[in-house]
Amino acid sequence: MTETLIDFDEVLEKFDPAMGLEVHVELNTNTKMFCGCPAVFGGAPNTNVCPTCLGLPGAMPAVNAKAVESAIRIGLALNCEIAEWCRFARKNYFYPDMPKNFQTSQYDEPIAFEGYLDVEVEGETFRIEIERAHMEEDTGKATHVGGSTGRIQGADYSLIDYNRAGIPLIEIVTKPILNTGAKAPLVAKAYVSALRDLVKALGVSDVRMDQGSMRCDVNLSLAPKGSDKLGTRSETKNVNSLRSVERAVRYEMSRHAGILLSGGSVLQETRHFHESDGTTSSGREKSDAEDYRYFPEPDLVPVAPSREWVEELRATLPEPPAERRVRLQADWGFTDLEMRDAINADAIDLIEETVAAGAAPQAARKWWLSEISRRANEAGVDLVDAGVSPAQVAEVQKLIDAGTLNDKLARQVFDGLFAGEGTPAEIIEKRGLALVSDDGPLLAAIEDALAAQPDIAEKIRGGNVKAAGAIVGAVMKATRGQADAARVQQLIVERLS
Amino acid sequence: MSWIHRTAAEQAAALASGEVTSVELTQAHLDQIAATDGELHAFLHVDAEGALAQARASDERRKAGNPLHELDGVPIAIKDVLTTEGLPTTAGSRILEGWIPPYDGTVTAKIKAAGLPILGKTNMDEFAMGSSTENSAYGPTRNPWDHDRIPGGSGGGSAAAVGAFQAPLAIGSDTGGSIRQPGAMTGTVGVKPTYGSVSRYGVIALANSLDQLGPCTRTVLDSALLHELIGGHDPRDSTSVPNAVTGLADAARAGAARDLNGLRVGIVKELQGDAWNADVVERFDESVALLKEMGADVVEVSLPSFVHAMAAYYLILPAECSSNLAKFDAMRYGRRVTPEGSPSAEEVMKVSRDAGFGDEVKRRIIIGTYALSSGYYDAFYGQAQKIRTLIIEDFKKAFEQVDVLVSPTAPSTAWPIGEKADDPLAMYLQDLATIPANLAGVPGISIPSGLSSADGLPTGIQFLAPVLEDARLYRVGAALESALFEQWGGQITPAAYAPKGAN
Amino acid sequence: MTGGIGAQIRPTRLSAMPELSRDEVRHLADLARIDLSDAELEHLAPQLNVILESVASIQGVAGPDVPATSHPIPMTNVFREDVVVPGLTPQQALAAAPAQEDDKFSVPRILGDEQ
Ligand SMILES: [Mg+2]
Ligand SMILES: [Zn+2]
Repeated sequence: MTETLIDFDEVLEKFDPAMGLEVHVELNTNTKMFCGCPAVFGGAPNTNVCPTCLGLPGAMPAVNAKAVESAIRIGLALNCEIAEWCRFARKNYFYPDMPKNFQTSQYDEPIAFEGYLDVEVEGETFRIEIERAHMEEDTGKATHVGGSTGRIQGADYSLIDYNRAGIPLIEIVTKPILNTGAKAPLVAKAYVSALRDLVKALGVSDVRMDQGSMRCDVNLSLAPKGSDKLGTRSETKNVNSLRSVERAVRYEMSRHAGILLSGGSVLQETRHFHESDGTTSSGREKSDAEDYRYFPEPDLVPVAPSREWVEELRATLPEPPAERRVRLQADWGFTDLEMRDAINADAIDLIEETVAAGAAPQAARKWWLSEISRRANEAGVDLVDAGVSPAQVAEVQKLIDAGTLNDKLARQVFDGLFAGEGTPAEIIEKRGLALVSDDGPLLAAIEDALAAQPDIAEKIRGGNVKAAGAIVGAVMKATRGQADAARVQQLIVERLS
Repeated sequence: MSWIHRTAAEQAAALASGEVTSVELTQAHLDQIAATDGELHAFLHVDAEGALAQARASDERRKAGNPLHELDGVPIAIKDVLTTEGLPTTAGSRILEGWIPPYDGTVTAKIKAAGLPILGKTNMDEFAMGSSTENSAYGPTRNPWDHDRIPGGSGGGSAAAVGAFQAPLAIGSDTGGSIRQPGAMTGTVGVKPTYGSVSRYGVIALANSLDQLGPCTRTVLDSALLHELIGGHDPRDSTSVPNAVTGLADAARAGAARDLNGLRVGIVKELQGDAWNADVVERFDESVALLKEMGADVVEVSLPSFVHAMAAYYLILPAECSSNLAKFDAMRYGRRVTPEGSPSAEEVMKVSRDAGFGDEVKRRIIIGTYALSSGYYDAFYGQAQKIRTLIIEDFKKAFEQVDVLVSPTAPSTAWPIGEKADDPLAMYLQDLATIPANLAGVPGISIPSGLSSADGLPTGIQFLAPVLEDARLYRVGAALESALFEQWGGQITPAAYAPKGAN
Repeated sequence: MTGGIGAQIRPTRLSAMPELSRDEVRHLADLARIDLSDAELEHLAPQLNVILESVASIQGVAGPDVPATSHPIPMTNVFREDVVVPGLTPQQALAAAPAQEDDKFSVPRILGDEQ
């Protein structure tokens, strides 16, 4: 179906967007929400399952204490109230990836509610109000067989792996985000990004959008400009990168406007986002009256976190990411541009650890943002997975500072590190990379070079020190780069003066 | 008198003294099952081989002087509602036909850990929905007293097995009376423990907030012994209470001395009247007279909210079960019925559930789905949960005045098979007296109160105690049982199954 | 003695109680994924109305001041330590599956969208 898409500027002339973001965060607990199976998705199918997470008759749930703790910490980090008393509820609907045909979730009694998260977009701060953060469980994973696309539509049948079923999820729901105008797509992206950093700083989730450990649903509606009535919303499911969040908002704004301006009405439905072209397509019609027949889970007792426990957990909260960035930029002396690049490259933690291991901030920044970033890009992996640790980077830099390596040799050390050849010291040893620090061989090489290029030697004698560059080059070549260029230069001048 | 006619306590004592082996006991019960179950149909599955293997292992432990438990080697039957690894578990439903669980429920594990040979799985109303065991997808169980009559339900299989000497001990489950009412119908003892004191892990849930496993036996002491074995905290059941379950057998033994001086007994005003048959009331009144003779102070107490218990129960139960039974969708286990063409998963679920569930199950699922629907939740489920609060308060007030409450267990004796089959309300009325205990979580016991002067069938009397005061039931139950046994010259037993020379 | 509970269970018709029409029963059966035939609807609908009428008697019995009880024994904060315990092997998990392929449960094509 072709959509009439309205130019973004025109949308803004006529409409105000309202957004609601629902983010599911998969916790990195050892075990699932309600059973002792490893909370590990992937691997051989149906290996991390038990009677409880398979929904076998007679099995019962038991709440993971760590998951509750993580939920409370997320709630606190989002400036939420923590419920004094709350319960799990059953959300009843049939779906083959859901073993019990109800999801154990929370309904009108979430563990955390009424919070906010401030995000900054182009120098302007937006306060995103959080309605609630609640605990629930993930579903199994279906793969669709047959049909042309491997998608659910048109498939002949589906295969289900329940390893993911029961992994703890925290669902974080915003209140309607209003008054963002042209910045709506950026605000959405900034919110999800800030939330990701916050949860990551808490250490309770891997928050890898590409791997589904953080998933975002984007609700969007348009209201006629100046009207305070919300329009009909669409819900774009599982938008799985920051860039896609921005694009999905932008696309839906244009699509809604197209419908509304042609006199149509927006269908309340779920939509699928397509990474390839940034469009969305129709999913399932969704009415407000959808009847999940919620009721309190009778196999579990209420969760009533004591205020002492909540305060104990509050004391474990890390520095808020925004404040931390301001502090680190000042400590490191980075320019705004340098800091932004480091943030965009997801290198803040890595640089911090490298500095902690003894490297100068600028040196740490240089290695992570140039050499290592390049290699991570080539390998198509995140910086953190590039294969080099902050301690190794600091060690390499230490060797440069000590004159054992130069930048060129250091790159070869990185080659060795990426190839898994051992520690920097071992690689230097194995590859014979250390700078020649003994003057003897250098002087011999200088003699050879001068003899080969008598005219250059003449120029240097005549006071043209710049001409020494050619001799240095020849010496470096002869020592296969393992000479300290500054020392060579010094020796040439001494020899000819 | 053969071994099967002895009580479980007597069988345990004979094992301890070396008078008999577990293999002999187990074989004797298997022989009784083989001889009688074709007619009775108390069992859905008999595991002769497994039971004998467990019996042999038990005998070896005895020989080595290492019995696992007082009841090590005494055989037992388990209601088909509880999972047993390697043994079929169907909950009486076609939709679970042939399902063999890959795990043991906690009570199964406790029974195995204590060394009791498991004879097999007993018949029940489908998913424990019913009061007659006629709703079993595998056909009804017959009452040992009269094969044309129902044995009560939903645990008719366990009660009939115990009543017909097929097993000295059986596990039942009681959501609204499913242990106690079959006890009354078959002249046996049945106990619903305090909610949360026996683990529900492995119990195929009917209504989670009401279900409780408990013992089915022929004597009060046997129930106490089994109750202590299966009770206690279980971390796998989050609703399990932390309290230890002890002192029950001691209470039963003390009770047998028939001294009830100082015990305050309350007759529930709301559990009297037209709904109770005269022949049942006649035996009840006799028992109350015996309690007085033993020194009990008997008064009438009123629990006014009891009149709403039935309605609250028939909302809470369908609501919870409509959700519990959603998992039976033919996707992961259970019987899949695939209609012609290329049906979707949704269609296969619908057709499989239609074919796999019986009428009563469908009725309750639909009522429960309705009661939980948005717009009706507050009026039905929400309101029912409030009634529950009122009933709990009634119990609290009553137990300020008395130590135990007493009523007939069921309004009538066993009725002919088929009589109430298509009249759900008539069936529901059978649980009038038993339901309040489930709503409030309090423990209850039913013991035989005699035989009806009208039809010669057993009648039952029920005692209720405050939460966690299960021991009181054993004290008063054992006292009354002892006094009644003296009148009767021993247990009452169905003629067709009585030991030679008795009755 | 007369009266007692038995007398109250048999309902006198309550005007407040809406009857379930056959269409409503069919809708509920759809929600519960039960494929009721017309004959079954014919049979069950009147029974359901009798049951509903009898349970409708509780409406208005307990006022807003009465709290709801979902567990007869009040407890809170029952948690499990975050420690892995052995589960089932794939063979055990799949042993009862009506259909399977590649150690996964095989189910017919799924119509609806994920929730
Ligand atoms: Mg959710
Ligand atoms: Zn599990």
